[in-house]
Amino acid sequence: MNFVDPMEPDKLLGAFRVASGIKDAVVIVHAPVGCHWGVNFIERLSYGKTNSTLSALRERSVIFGGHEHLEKSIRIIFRRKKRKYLIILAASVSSIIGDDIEGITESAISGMSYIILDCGGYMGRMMNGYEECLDKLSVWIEKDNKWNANRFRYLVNIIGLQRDMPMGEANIKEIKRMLKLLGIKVNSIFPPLSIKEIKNAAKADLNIVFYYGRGLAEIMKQRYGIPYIFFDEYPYGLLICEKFLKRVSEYFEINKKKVDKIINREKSKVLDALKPARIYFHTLYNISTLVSGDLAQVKGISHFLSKEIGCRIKLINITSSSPNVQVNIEDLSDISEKLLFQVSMHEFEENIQDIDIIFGSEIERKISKKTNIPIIPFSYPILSKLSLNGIPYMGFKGVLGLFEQIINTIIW
Amino acid sequence: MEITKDIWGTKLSYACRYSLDCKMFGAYCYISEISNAIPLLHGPVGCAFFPKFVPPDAIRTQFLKLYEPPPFPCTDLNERDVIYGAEDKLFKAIIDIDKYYKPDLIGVVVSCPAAIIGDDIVSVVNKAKQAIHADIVYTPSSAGFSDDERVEDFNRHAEDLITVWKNRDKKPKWGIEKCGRLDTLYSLITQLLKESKEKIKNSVNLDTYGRFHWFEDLVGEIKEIKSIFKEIGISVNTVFPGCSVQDIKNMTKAELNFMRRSEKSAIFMKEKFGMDYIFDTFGNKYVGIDGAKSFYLDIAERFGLRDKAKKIVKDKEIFLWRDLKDIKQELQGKEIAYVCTPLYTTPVFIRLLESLGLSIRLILINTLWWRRWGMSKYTSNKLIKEFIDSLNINSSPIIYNDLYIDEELSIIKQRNIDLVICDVLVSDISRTMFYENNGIRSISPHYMGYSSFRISFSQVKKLAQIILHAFNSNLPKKDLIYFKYAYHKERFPTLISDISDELRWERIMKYVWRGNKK
Repeated sequence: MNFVDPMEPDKLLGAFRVASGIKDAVVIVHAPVGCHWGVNFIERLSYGKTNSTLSALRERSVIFGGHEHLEKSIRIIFRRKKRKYLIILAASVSSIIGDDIEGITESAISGMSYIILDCGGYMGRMMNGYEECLDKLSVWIEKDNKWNANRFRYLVNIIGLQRDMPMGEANIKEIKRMLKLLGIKVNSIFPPLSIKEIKNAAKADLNIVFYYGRGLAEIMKQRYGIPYIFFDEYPYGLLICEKFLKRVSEYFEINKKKVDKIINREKSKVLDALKPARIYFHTLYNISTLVSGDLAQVKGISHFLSKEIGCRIKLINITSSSPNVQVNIEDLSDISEKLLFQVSMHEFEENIQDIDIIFGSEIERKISKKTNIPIIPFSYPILSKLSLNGIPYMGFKGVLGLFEQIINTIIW
Repeated sequence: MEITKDIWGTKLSYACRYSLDCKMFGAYCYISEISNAIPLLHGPVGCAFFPKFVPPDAIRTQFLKLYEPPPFPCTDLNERDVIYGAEDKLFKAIIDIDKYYKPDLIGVVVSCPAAIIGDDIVSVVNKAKQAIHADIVYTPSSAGFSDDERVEDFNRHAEDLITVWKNRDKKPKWGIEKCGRLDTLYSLITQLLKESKEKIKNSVNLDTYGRFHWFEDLVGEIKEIKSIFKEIGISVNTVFPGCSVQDIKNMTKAELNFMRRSEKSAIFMKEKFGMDYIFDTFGNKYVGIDGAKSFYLDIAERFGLRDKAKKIVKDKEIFLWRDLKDIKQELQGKEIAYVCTPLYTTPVFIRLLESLGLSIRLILINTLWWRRWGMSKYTSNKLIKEFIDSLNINSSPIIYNDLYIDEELSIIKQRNIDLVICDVLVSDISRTMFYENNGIRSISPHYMGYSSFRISFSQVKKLAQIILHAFNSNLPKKDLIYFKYAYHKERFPTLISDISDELRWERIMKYVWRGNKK
């Protein structure tokens, strides 16, 4: 078909997702009102507050250029000079008319640090923007000599875990807890919450990349000599968590026996807690399952559901993937009867048949409502769910969180 | 469904704070209000992604009984298309959409990039017409950067409304014709309508609107109008939107149009098809009981049925007051405070409250909402003055302007008010909660299903019932968590922590978007 009913937005939202959570920077969407409205709408409902505003381009800007609007916006934002960091996301209109954004920014105000990203909607999909924005943040990383006697022994950055997806913050907390069990401290997380987090990133000994942000990790490797290890799936379930901890501990050459002991202790805690719910494994065994989301999410959860719970994965729908990593979905073909990759919504809907449970996002929620198939919200975007109590879906504790959510959704 | 609507409203007002939608979205919304219509975006995926997450329009839910927004397919413009054009892509998309969705109407919505690169949409649409089963229209000025009425001077809008308070037949200078929704209405009318051989005697088309006002009884209003028209001998031909494509095509069968928003569309139909029209000014012309009476008489007059209508509407009014007799008795002499934003509230509404037996002891006028939208202090002062001058009520209320929320509370407490009626646009529910948290009974009629801008006798009864119910309900002591967060006293219910975002947003809107000089 010669049309797309999109399941993945464009570059602008990807970049906005990375930039809009950095509390001491301001994001200007250099665009007409609607472009900012769209990304802001999604992020406010997915994550909460955003640090963004806009240059509100109008018809005259298309003819005479958007410099006046951008300049005025910058002056308003920085009039009290409390902030020093600016991220400009140029959407389709400014991208086409070719505003000299750098020149405008320089002339608007001095002594400010800024990043400019060309995010024309026609220039790429969400994860292009996500990756490019992560790469660009590297300009604010400050060099570190690492000679500090009080410094933590093993310091790592985590790159690529999405904060604005369901249980995002809780997931990050759980991964930090797991690393702490090995004596590893998390230094910075990307996408970051503060400029300080970016500045300090070069202090780390290692970057742990969860699929997204490989470009940033490469930059840090070249610029600061920080190596990285790469995971192509998010850590859902006991098996992937074990694999994750072992690989990180191997890098730091942490005593293997000690690591095994920690992992076994964590696993047995989870298994003990799961014991009362054991009867429900019967219910989930061979249950016809649809998984839809971005590649890292889908890979991690599908492996967990298939290998550890015994679900029959009938359909996997990958809505987005990183442009920095060659797509490898062979292993998914082994566990799913059907695999769709970046298809239009109408094509996706055509393939939904005999499904008992859906793992997806707000998009699949519509299908769930229409068909009465229960849904577990786990991928981006989710605009209709709060997660205040810090229960993760990832990591060891996430096994309990996820299992509880699945069972409660089905039996209620 | 009630809770769903509340959640829709809550989510929408939170998510849209400090941001503004564009004309493209308005076009999408209007097409979603036509049954079995598919909006097709000629643009990149990003623009077509967001609208699907916005709750469906009130017209779509109430008239079409559809509780999800429609799909929003697009042509997926890429870099190559922006350089070389994408007319062929659009043509193919139209053909495939016709085949796949089998819609009655395809509405081609033009995005910013498509508008800039200058694809010849008209030729593509005309060519496609021959090859598809569906009807097709396009929206020539739905690009997000196209100017809409919101960039214009709200001071002029205020001046217009002051004039309308004094003379309901005066025409406004300010209008919402450039709104994305009305642009689309104009596209539908100019591109779909054909001269009809058959004319239905004494028939009228009714323009309705709803946007995201899920709390209003849109269908109820039309039902009541149809029923009274039937008694008078007038038939309603098409109610639009919330109708089918065929209903729109049939519009030319009617003799008269009753338009509430787009006079431009009415003028087009008058010039092209000789259809006369009545234009309501911002829904202010037919407010309250007298307004409803005038509505029927004005329409009936066009068909030479005024005398018959006069008797019928008089009976309606008599029946209404008979129905209200007991309620009025119970409300008699109850003392109320009315917290309002003029323009949205008209003097007619205050007179209506008084006619229900209520004694209006306090009027607390709040112009913050308008000032946030760029109204000058001079105009807001003028507005207050004109509002007070136009009240014409028997009660002698004490009137205060733009108090801080704690000052409002203190004055209301001093006066031993029985009930506070809140009507300040955006913060009504918060205000109601605030007063009740402080032991003062309070309601927001608009959020309880009453609408002062609907042409209706039964809405008056509903208002009376809402007020009576408020008096007869318990008011248990409260200590709401909602108020445990520090809020800004002038800009209630904005939290102190959000105030810098709010001020920044207002400055950007005022000086950048509208281009006001400092």
